[in-house]
Amino acid sequence: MRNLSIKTKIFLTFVLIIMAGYGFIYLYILNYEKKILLEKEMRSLQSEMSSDTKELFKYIEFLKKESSFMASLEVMEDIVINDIDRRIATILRKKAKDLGEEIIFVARDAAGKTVAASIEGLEVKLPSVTGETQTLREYLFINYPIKMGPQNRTVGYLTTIYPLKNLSYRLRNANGIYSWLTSDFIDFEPVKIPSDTIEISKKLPPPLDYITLHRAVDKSIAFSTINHVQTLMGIVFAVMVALTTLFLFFVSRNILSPLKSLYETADYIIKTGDYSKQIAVTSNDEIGRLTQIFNRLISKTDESIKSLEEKSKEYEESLIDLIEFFNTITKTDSAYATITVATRELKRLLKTPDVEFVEYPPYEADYVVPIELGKGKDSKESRGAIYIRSPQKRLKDLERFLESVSKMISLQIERIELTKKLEETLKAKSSFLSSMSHELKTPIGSILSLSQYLMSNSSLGESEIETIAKIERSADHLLKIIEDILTIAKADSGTIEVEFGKHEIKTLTEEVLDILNPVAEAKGLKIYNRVEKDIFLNTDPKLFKMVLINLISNAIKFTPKGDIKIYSEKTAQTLSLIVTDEGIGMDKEDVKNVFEEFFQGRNRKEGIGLGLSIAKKFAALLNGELSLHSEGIGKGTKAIFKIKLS
Amino acid sequence: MKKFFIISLVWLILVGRLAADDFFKEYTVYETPFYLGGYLSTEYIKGDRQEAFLFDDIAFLAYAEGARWDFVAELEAKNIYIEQSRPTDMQSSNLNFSIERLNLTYYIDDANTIRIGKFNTPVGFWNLTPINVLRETTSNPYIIDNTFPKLTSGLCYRRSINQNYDLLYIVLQNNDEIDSSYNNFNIKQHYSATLEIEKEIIYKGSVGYFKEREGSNSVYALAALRYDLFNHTFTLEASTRRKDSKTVVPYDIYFQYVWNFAEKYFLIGRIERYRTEYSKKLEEAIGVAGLTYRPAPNVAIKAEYDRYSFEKRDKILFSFSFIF
Amino acid sequence: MKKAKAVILLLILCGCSMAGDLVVAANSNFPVSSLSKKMIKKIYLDKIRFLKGKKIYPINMSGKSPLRARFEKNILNMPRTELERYWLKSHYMGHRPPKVLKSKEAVALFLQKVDNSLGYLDKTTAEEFGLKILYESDR
Repeated sequence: MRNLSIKTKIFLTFVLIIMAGYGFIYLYILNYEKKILLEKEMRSLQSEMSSDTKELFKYIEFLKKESSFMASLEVMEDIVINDIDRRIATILRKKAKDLGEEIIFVARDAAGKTVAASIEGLEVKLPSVTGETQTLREYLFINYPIKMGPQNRTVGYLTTIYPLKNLSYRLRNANGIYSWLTSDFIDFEPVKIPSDTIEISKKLPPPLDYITLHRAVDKSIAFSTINHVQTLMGIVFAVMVALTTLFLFFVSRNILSPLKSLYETADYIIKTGDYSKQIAVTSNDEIGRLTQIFNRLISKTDESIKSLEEKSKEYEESLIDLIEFFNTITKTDSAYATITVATRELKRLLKTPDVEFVEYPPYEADYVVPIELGKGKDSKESRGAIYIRSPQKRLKDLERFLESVSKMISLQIERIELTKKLEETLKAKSSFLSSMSHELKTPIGSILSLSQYLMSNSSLGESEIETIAKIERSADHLLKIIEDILTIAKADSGTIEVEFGKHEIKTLTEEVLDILNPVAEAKGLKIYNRVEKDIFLNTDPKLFKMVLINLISNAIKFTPKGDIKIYSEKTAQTLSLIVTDEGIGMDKEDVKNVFEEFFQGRNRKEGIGLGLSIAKKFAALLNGELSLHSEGIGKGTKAIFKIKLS
Repeated sequence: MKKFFIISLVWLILVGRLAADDFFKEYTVYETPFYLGGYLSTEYIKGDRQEAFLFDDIAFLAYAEGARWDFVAELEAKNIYIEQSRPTDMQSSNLNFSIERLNLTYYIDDANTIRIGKFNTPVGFWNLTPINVLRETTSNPYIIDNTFPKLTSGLCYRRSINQNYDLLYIVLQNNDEIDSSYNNFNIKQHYSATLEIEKEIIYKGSVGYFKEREGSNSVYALAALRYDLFNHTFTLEASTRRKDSKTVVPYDIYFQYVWNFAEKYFLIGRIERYRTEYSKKLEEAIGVAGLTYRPAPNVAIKAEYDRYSFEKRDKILFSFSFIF
Repeated sequence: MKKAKAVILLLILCGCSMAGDLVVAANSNFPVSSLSKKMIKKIYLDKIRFLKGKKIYPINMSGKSPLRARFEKNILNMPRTELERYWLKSHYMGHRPPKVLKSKEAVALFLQKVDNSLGYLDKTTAEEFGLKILYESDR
C-alpha cells in the first residue's frame, strides 16, 4: 500500500465509492422497484378497466339518447295510422344504417303490436315493454314511448335492439395491453393474448352483470421501464468513471501542495531569472525525488548562465570599440584629420602606443595599413601607410580588420577630395554664367530699345522695317536665352527664393492657361483643363506656374495640329500634373537627354534647349520631378510633373 | 359594399340547402318539444349624409307549445358590426345580447287568452313583424318609432268578441321593463286597448297611455287597415301622440302597396308623411320604392330608395337577411 | 286553333285531378258539426285553436299534393310563397305550422283515429273512412 502512487490511491478510492453506490442502487431497483412496479401496473390495469367500463356504458347512454331522440320525432305520430305512408320505416332504416353494428329499431303501437322496423322479417323475440332498458341474453333492449300532440298521449313505443357481442368494438387492444369480454350467453370475438401476462377481470355492473370484463398487459412491456433503468445505469456508470478520471486530473494539479510549490518556484525563476532559489524537500515519494532533481537542475543552469554572461560582455565591448572607430573616421573633413584620427583610434583599440603614419614606406612593422587612392581600375596613388607594432589586444581576424580599415581611410580621403573639387567647379561655372549674362544683357537691351525706336519711326520703308524687326526679334530671342541662363545659374547657386503657401492647383492651371490660350488659339489648338478641383498643394505659385508654362508652351510649340490636355492624378504620396499633346513627339533616344542644358532634339529648330532644364530645376525646388514620355516621332508627348505631398 | 356581398354570398350558400318544399322540417333539426331558431340581417346604406355597412341584427329564438300554453324567448344583439365612412369614419362592434321577448301565453278557453312577460305591443300591423327578413322593406316607417312603445313588459289580455273571432287586446304594464335596451321609449307604465276587426279588410284601432321613466306622460291613438288580394297587399296606418298636454306628433300616416309581381319577387311603394313638434317643428314626407327578392321563403335580399322632402337623408339601402 | 286545343286539354286535366269534391272532415267526436270557409282559414292559420273548449289539430298534406294546392287556392286564398312567409312569421312568434301527412289515406286514417283533428280530403275518401264532413266546397 505504501508503495502505491498517490494518483493510483485516489483513483482506486473513487472507483470503489462509485461501484458501491451503483451496486446499491442496482440491487434496490432489481428487488424493491420491481415489486412496486407490479403493484403500480395492477393499479393502472384497474383504473383502465374502470375507464373501459365507462366507455361501454357511455355507448349505451349514447344509444339511449339516439333512441329517445328518434321517439320524439313528429313523424313517429304516424304510428296512430299504422305508418300507412311508411315514413317511420324509412327513418328507422336510415338511422339503423347510420349507426351500423346490426342495430335494429322497432316501432310498436300502444298495444305492443309491431308497426314498423328497420329490417324486414324480424327474428328477435321482443320482450314486453317493462322498462327503459333491459337485457335478454345476447341483446340489449331500449324502450322509449312515442307520444302525440300537446296532450302527450302515449301512442306507441320505439324499441332499439342492440346485439351485445358488438360491445367488444368499444374496447381497445394496443401496445401489449388487451381488453376482452366473456359471458356464458354471448359469443364475443376471441382476442389473441400472449402467454406471459398480468391479468385482472371483473363483472360488469347491471344490467350487463352476466358479462365479465378482462384486462391484461404483456409482462415484457410492463417491466420495460426496469430494463430501461438498467441500460441507464450502465451509461451513468461509464459517465461516472470518466468524470472521476477528469476529477483526478484536477486533484493532481491543484490539491497536491508539494507539486504546487514546485510549479510556483519554476514560475518564479522564469519570471525573475533568479536561479539561486531552492525548494525544501519534504517527502520521500516521487514528488520529493522530483524536487531534488529540480534543485540540481536549477543550480546547473545558474552556473552555465553566469559563464555565458562573461563571454558576451567581452564581445560586446570590442564591437562597440569598432563601431566608434569607424564613426569617428567618417566624421573627418580633411585627409590629414582622417589619418590623425585613424592613428589615434588604432592606438586605443589595439592597446599599443606604437602606431605611426609614414608617408613614404618602407618601414618595418608587424602590420601595415596602406592608404591608396584609386584613380582608375589599374593605377593607384599611394599616400603612405599606418604601421603598427606589437598590438596588445588581439582581435579575431586582425588582418581582415586592418584591411577594412585601410579601405575605409582611403575611401574617406577620396570622398573629401572629390567634394572639394566639385564645389569649386560649380562656383566657377555659376559666376561665369552670371557675370557673362549681366555683361550681355546691357548691350542687348540697347539693341532692343533702339530697334523699337527705329520701327516707330514712320519715315522708314517697308523692307527696312522688316529688317529692323528681324533684328529686334533676334535680340529679343537672345535676351530670353540670357535670362534663362541667369535663372539656371541662380538655381544652381541656390539664390532663388522659394515662398511656399497653400494653393488650389486647378486655379493655378487656369491662370497659366489664361496666358497661353491666345497663343494656342492663334495656332488653332485647343487646350483642355481636366485638373480636378479642390486639390490644395503647399507650393510656390510662381515657380509652379513657370514649370507648367514651360511644359504647356512646349506642347504648343511642338503640336502643329490637335488637342492638348492637362489632367491630374493623385495618390497618397504624390500629385501628378500631366500634359499630353498630339504633336510631333520625340525619338526614344532624345527622351533620355531632354533635360540636359542646351540639348535640342534632333528635329527641333527653335530655342537653345534651356527651358526643360530650368523647369526641371524649379520642379526640384518644389519637391517635384519632371519626366517626358513619347512613343516615338509623330506620336505625341506626355509630360509628367510629379510632386511629393509632404 | 364588398363585405356586404361576400357575407351575403356565404349566407346564400349556407341557406341554399334550406330551401326545400316543407322547409320548416329541414332546419328544425332536433324536433324536440323545444324549438330553436334565429335570424340575421346585414345592411348597406348609401345616402346624402351617410354611407355605412352594418351587420345590424342577430337573434336566437327558443319556444315551446303545449295544449293550453306556449312560451317564447328571444335574445337579440343589434348593430353587431358597423363600418361607416360617412358622416364620420367609424368602426364599431357589439355583441351584447339582450332579452327582446320573453313571454308565456295561456289559453283560458275558446275566446280568452292571457300573455305575461315581454312581448311586441299588438298595435298596428308593422310592429308585429319587426324583423328585417319578415317585413317588406329594410327601412321602417317612422310611425312605429313616433307613436307607441314597441315592446311592453307586462300583461296582454286577448278576447275574441264575436262569432267572427274579431279580437280585443288589453295591454297593461305597471312596472319596470324586463330589458329596456332596444325599446324606443323607456317606460314604466303602459295601458292600451286595441280592436281588430277582420272582414274583406282587416281594421285595427288602438288607444293608449304610457309613462316614461323620466316622468313624461303620453297618450296615443293609431288606426290601421290592411287589404290582402291574391298578389297585392295594401296597408295604411295613421297615428297621433300627445305628450304632457302638447301634441308632439300631430299626425303620422303611411300608405304601402306591395305587389308580388312574379314568383319570389316583390315591388314595394310606400309614402309616409308626419309632423313632429318637439323642441323644433318638423314636417317630413318620405317616398320609398323597393324591390325584394326572396330566393327561399326564409331569405330576403332587398334594395330600396328613400326620398325625403325636407331633410337631406335620401338614401339607397341594400340588405340581406334570413331566418332559420 | 292550337290555343283552343290546349285549353280543352287543360280543362280535362283539371277535371281529372279534381275527381271528387274537396271537403274538410273529421271523426264523429269533433266538437262542431260544420265550419264556415272563413273559420277553416282561421283554424289553418292558427288564429283559432279551440272549439268548444277542445284543442283542435288541423292536418296539412305534403307540398306536392294536388289536394293541398286546391285547398290553398280555394279556401285559404293565398299563394304558396305567401303561406310559407306566414308560417315563418308564426315561427318568429313561437308557433308551429300544422302537422303534415303524406297520403290522403294517411290523413283519413289519422282523422278517424285521433279526436279533434280535422283535415281536407276528397269527398270519396272521406266517406270511405266514415268521416264527418264539416265543409264541402260549393262547386
